[in-house]
Amino acid sequence: MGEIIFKKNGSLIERRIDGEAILLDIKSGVYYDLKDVGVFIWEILTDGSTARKIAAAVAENFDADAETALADTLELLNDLEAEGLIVRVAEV
Amino acid sequence: MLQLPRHELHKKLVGRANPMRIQLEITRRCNLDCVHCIQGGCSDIAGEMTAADYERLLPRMSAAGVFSVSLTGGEFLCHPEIHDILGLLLRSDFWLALQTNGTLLDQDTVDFLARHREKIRAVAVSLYGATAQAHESVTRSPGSFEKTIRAIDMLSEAGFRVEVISLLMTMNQDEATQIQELCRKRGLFHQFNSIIAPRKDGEKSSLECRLPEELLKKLPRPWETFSENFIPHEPDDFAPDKTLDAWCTMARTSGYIDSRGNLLPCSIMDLPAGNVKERPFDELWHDSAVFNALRKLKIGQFECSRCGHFPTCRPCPGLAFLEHGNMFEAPKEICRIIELFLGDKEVKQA
Repeated sequence: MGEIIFKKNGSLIERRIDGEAILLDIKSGVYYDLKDVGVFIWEILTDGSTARKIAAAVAENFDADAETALADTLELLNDLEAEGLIVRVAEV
Repeated sequence: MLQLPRHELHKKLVGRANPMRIQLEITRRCNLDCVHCIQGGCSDIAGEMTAADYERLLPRMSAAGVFSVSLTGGEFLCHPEIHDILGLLLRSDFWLALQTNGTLLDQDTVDFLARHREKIRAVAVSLYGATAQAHESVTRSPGSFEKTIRAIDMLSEAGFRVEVISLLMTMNQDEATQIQELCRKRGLFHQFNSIIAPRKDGEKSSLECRLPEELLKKLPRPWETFSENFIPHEPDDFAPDKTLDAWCTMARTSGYIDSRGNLLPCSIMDLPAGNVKERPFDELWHDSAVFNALRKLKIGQFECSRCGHFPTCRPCPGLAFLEHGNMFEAPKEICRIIELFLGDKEVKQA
């Protein structure tokens, strides 16, 4: 199975407030809140990111083992995708 | 759970005094002459913010955390650089709302706005009657009804959420049903209001236009009409020793920048924190002695806190400021309206 490349939804307004990332989806008017590792993942979630690349960065920066980092990353990406905050652009 | 309900966000930001929504009074100029206008004359444009001023201001607002920006006036389309200013706003990352009388909107401007429709949450248009005679009895501007209706239709056809705002007063008192029908046929959002405030310069002749009690009773109950704007709260949030966090957003999550660049707590409370042309927005927002004093006020300092109708009536400290010159007395016009529905006030023991 290949890896999925995600990109951020283009209709988001993002603000950093006291270390948290507050997102507003202007299509729906719904606000979202990311904290801690969620903010880190959101910030490195640039075009071309895959779960493995992101998880490797999480493991390195949060002193986590690779398996846990990948599981946590996949869980957050699933949540972000379910809310429409990220979309799949390709599978490599 | 990633979603953050709006009232939860408000609670999160209010404790940090983090700005969420800013109204920009783009200009005090206006092409109409409405009987109830609180601006007190439209010709005073000394020191008006320019497009260059907004170019410096908007990034500071974004960096400070502002999400939503509402454009108001006067009539914001009267600003001589309005297309440059709109371009700056639409290139920035704000969720916009526009408040207009609609008469200056042409198809080219609507088409320009429509290219950025996603960034514009709503366009609020003032409408005072379902006929030219009724509407223009308020605007005192012949031809304004036809232009406003044409603007409403152009905006609707372009896919905007159009919110019709109708202030009812003695000269258009019979228009409520007809305005509702006009909006229903067009599928528009609609809201009545009946609060007429003194002008900002203290002139009070417009107060003679306030609806008498027997007509006010026919309108929707005001606290329910505006209920969607209310912030869910716990009863204890309105205890005398609490700050105004659950009551009023002024200087907490919302603020107002007038056409000269003065940062104010709200549209009607003339207590400037400073001027954004002289000092960056974020510094003024956080360091202003005026704003910090407002954030420390306690509910028990307000006359309203001792009334049995509080907080159901949601009294506006800004309206009290216009009526009395201070915000601590009760805004009598709100008392007059609320007592029609809830009966005479029962004063609580201090």
